[in-house]
Amino acid sequence: MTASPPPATVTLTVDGHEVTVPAGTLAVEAARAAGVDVPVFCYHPKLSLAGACRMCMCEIGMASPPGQPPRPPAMMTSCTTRVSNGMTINTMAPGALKAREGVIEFLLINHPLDCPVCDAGGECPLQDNSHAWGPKESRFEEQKRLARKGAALSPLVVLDQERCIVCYRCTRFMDEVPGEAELSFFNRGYTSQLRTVGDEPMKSRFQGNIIDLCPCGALTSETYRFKARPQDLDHADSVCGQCPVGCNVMLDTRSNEVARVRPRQNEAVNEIWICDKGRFAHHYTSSPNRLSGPWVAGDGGELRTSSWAEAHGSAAVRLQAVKEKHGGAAIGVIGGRNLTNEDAYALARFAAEVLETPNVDFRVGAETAVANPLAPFGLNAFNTTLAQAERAGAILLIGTDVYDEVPVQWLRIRKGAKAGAKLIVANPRATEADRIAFQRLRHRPGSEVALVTGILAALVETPPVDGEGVARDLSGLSDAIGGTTVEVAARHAGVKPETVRAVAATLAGAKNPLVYAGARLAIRHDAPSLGTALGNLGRALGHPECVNFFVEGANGRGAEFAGLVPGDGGVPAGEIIARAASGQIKALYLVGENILATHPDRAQALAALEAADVVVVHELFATETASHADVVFPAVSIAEKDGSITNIEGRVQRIYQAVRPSPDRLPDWRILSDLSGVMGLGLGYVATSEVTRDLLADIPAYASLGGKLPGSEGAITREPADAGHSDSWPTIAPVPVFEPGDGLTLVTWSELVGNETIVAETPELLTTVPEAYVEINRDDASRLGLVDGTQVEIHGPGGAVERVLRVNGRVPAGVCFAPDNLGSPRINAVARHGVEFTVVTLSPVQEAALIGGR
Amino acid sequence: MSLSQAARDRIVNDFIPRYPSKRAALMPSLWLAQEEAGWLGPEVFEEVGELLDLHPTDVASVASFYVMFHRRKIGDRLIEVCENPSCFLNGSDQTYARICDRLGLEAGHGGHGMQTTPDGKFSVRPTECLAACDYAPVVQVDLRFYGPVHEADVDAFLANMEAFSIQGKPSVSMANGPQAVPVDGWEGHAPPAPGSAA
Amino acid sequence: MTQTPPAADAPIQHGAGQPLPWEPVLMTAVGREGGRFLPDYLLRGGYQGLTKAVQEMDPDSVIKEVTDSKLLGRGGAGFPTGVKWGGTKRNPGPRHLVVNADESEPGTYGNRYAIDADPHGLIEGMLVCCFAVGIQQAYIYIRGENLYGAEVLEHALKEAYAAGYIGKNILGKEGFNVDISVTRGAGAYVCGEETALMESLEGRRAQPRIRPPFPIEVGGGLFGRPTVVNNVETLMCVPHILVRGAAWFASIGAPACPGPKLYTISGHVNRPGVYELPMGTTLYDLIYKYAGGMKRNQKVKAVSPGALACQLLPGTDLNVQMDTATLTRPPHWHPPFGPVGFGAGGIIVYGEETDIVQVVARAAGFFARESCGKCVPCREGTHWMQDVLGRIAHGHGRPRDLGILEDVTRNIGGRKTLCALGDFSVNSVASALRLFRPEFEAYCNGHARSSAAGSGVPVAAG
Repeated sequence: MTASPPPATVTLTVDGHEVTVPAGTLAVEAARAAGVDVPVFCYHPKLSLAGACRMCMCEIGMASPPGQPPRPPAMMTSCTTRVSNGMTINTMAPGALKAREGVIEFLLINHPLDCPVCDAGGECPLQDNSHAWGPKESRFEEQKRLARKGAALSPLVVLDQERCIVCYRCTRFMDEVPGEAELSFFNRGYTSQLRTVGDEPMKSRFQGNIIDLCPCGALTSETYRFKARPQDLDHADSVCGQCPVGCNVMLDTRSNEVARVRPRQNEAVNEIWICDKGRFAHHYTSSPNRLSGPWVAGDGGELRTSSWAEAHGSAAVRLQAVKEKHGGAAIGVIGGRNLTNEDAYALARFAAEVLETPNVDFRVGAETAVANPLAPFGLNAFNTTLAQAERAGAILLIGTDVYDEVPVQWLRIRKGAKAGAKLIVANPRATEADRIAFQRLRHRPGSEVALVTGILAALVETPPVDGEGVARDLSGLSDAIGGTTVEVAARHAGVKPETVRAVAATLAGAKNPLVYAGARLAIRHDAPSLGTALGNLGRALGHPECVNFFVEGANGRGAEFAGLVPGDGGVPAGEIIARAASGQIKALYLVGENILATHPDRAQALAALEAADVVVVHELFATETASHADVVFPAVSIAEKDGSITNIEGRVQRIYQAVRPSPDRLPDWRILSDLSGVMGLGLGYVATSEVTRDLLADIPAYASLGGKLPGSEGAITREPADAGHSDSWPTIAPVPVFEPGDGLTLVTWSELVGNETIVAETPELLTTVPEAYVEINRDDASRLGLVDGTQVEIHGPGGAVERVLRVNGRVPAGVCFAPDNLGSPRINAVARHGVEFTVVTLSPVQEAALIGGR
Repeated sequence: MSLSQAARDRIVNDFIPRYPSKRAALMPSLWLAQEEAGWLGPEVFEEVGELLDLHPTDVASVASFYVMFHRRKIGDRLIEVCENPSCFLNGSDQTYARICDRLGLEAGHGGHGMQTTPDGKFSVRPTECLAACDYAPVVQVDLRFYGPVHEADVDAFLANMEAFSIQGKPSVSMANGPQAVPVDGWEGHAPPAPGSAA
Repeated sequence: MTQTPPAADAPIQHGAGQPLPWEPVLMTAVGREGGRFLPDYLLRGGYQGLTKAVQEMDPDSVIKEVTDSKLLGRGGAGFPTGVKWGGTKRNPGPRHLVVNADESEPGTYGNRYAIDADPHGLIEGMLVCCFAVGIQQAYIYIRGENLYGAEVLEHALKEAYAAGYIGKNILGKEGFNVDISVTRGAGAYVCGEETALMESLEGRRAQPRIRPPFPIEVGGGLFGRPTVVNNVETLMCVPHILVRGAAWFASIGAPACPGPKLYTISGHVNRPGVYELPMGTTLYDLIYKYAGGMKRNQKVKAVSPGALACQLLPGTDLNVQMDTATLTRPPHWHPPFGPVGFGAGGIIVYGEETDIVQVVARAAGFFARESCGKCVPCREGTHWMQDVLGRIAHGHGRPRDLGILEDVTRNIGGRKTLCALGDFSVNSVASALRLFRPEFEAYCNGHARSSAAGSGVPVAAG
């Protein structure tokens, strides 16, 4: 049989208009291409086909084979019919109109028609389609279906079952996109009801998307309910400021306050999704708890409100004094990961030109001054586009729980995995990605370098074969790993050699391998070694650019590009705090960083704040850190800013101001510019556009933008490669093997939604944050006599905190896991900075000894 | 209430290997769980879900689709009376009403809900065609078929159900073997075949 | 059920020349001691069809033989079995066989008796299919209510495994490996629809899938693999076709859709039951010659020829031949609803005592409860019909109800729904409105017929 290749395009007729579309296009999309909008409910281009609502019924005729009489057209759903050559689609055939009218009537007979009190009113496909296609009179005289109204599916999403038209968009989304089938229809037929088992609240961090998908007002947002009508809202395009993915969002405002956040489509970044943190955690922008007007410490150290002039003057005098007495290097600057590029650029200039200090770092807790571990390979820290995860053949996730770290990118990774990418998850504990992992490497905490060295050793044993069947020459790599064998490396990493070999084979056999390393690995003391190891891995696989390090903060990449990293002779953020605590650094300039919560060693951060002669803080809220400051500048939130932001992949994206700030708050760049003026070295900026102009001209990574911020898609930018990199196999500096001894090695991580300041301003979201917990293995629990669900005390070198114990199989023996953004005090209260690994002990809390502490 | 170890073993060693996807073991697993406890409780959804890598909501949603899976505790014995046309034509409504009456229950009107006697011994509900229409009206008790149970037979039926069992019995028409035998006696009463020369 | 009116080509011939009494083909085990067990099956010539296929034929010639026999699927759609097998085989393996034993159509019960009587007949038919199509995994999906049938099948499977008819290298044929298992449904009529059945078998809510891709194609079948879905009775015909030849089979009964047929007849007949007769036997013969005529000698008012899913035939239409071809072409074709339909041959006979409004209200209730709820017209429409008809049947009808009802049937029926259940749900309603409109009007004008509590006719026991 000689099969001719299928035609790439298909030509057909829609309501008399000829249109040519790619083969395989659905009739409904072909009609759209021809400018004809066929009404739909269940159809959604991002979801599987359901064919459930029958709204898109059209009269469709297929071309007959040559010589055959024409076949009569038939009624078909255009959302499930793929086009063919010569097809005729009649969207306005009498039969189609009759069917559509019938569907609308069927949908409305049981819909409560409570549009006047429905949030969806005015932006409701059911309303719009009823208006356009529905019958003009009602003839239903039976009892309408009664069902749950205003039922909480979770603290965030409200269900009105009576409004539900059972289109399965929400359940398909939950099942197919984040893969969390925690919402489903129960019963069948007329009695179908959307529910969770036992009416448990939904837990997914992507559940807000079902509100956007719902075409009939059945699913509404608890935080937006009854807050506004769509016609009352103003809109501003922005970018989410909660994580480095940089999801495109629309800020809908009413009376100069953000009323809700919705995703904006950008196929290159977030497609049409956002996570719940991005969607719901916006109330902080209009919180009455926001700082209003600067604060200055009096002689006794107590903070009092002041004028801008006084605050600038006070900060200038104090910083000048330190600079003159101890030199600029005695000032440490930390911050910038959540600012705009304009803020970051102004801060970098302020540090370099005004404060004259090399001790600048946006990477809170960083233990290495090396900002880009892949620099020796002539690479950026991130070298692919986010969308590439969709087409990868294998994806290695190391040191990251992508669900928490890059939530919407996790959806893309899942999409890639569904399309065939083999997911390899290397982590000391189970992560969400493990559920769909092809291979798992449960390695010992901190052994990532050994693990990757093991994979390299396995590749040396069995080099990858290229398309022509020729094995890659990896002889040089053998020296780079110092002759380490798979067995030795695997022993150091605490995994089985055969697993390491299997993983290496998966990567070697994959067409487009991809490696994602967590941001925390990029700032750890051994990051240069890991960078070398991963860079070698990319080269060994023949895809040097496949290796990527994540970064923390909504604009961590922008901060990195802007130069908010240690300069010549500068020390990383972790060391800045350590030196401040020991008195070597005399002043701390903290921009949007509550170091008491985020520096890994709380006691040290406290000592630093207390020891420093001068502490200047830019903040939105009166954080605990701010209370130790000498001068506090109230800054504006992302909703009040114009400018740009650079996401994890280096994509520069524009943000527009949605809310006019009060005069009591200023953008960070403006605070810095004004302060610099008082210090006599004025940056001289009075408009955002001036900062933008300068940063586009100054920053090497942005040279490709040609002096203009990009349009709505954004534009990928890259730092130019270091001149010094070579094409040989750099040697991986060995990392000593850590032996934990008797205690439990503490592993920490940030949950996507913790009890952070900005989350706390959205009480509905805050209630979804679990009680602060610590997780250990069943074996350790029985060895230590600890019981699941009870309170335990975690003792570490820095102190002790109480947590509720979770006993499960998610962590291996010898490891104890505690999120670092839950509870008060945070888990950083037990840790010591500068110790390679924190070893802790757990003991039960006696009832009588319960003294709060959570 | 939770799954016995034997049930877990059966699911893992017998049901899951039968199918290329773990999920497909769900129907037999739910049946097994219901056999053990008489109904399906929330723990079962969690436990079965864990064995089959499914979210408990997913498991419960599937179970709720099928009317034979009970998500609430039911009586020790479940009596179901077919109410579809073939049984209806033969008086199944009256049978159902009589059974309800004898058990002290109210025969619902058009509703399809289940009623349970206060002592928890019997649950009664109407059901759809059981594919035994030659024995209409047909009654199903705990997955076994009985018939015909006319209104007048209800007392005898409740006293001794086995006397009405049709399980394994051939069709009414095949009492004397497989042959479709013309019935002479009745042909005389038949009207002339339409279209035949009358 | 196919909905395109076939060209009225060759006139259908009556099962002319068939000697009566009819020699049963499918139900030979009835009345024999241990008839359902393997030893008796072998005595009756069991597994000879499979043996012949494996030892004397190649898979393609088996498919050709089945195609030549003109065996049409017995489940209701009436698709040519050999064509389905050949189509499946043209798609890449692994492929699956699913036996649809979810017989739930009210008034249809042939499969239940066939499985009870002769489980090995089904298993042999399955094995022949597996051999012909190249299938190693076969599943029997049996409705949950029929626990006894599932037990009979499990026992028969054990016997067949032990005897080497199922398993590895069957009958010594290298590489002919088949595994068969039984999966029980749990009470959902819609599982009789093949894609809903596959969803259920895969452990999901039994909601029909969109087509294409069709079950015989990659992505459309069970676990995404090309799949043959056959009815029990269809497969039971297969061994006999191989043993006695396609020509023999094609000569039985109606030439367009030949073969033996398990008619099930119930309602107001004196001797309801399963009758194995040639395809094309007339309704008159079925009622009067075999089923013992009408109870209390009443006239036939109407007949559901293929159980509830089909349109009603008027009692004046008794000379109609009961077969797929006849009942799916004019004059048994009523736009926009399509063919009257033959279904799986479950015949419900309504005598003149019948209150047709009550029956139709009951039918509407059935479909409302059994609608899976996936697509809108079926989910909402069946319930609306149930509400209106329920109200009418309880004597609260209004004159305008009938017009609404008719329009609702047109908004559901005529291929507007995802699967055929929507069309099924309107068939009895629409046809009753067409045939017996005055009775509905009487109800809507406050003149409800005063039958016994409006609920059928009580019949004395025995």
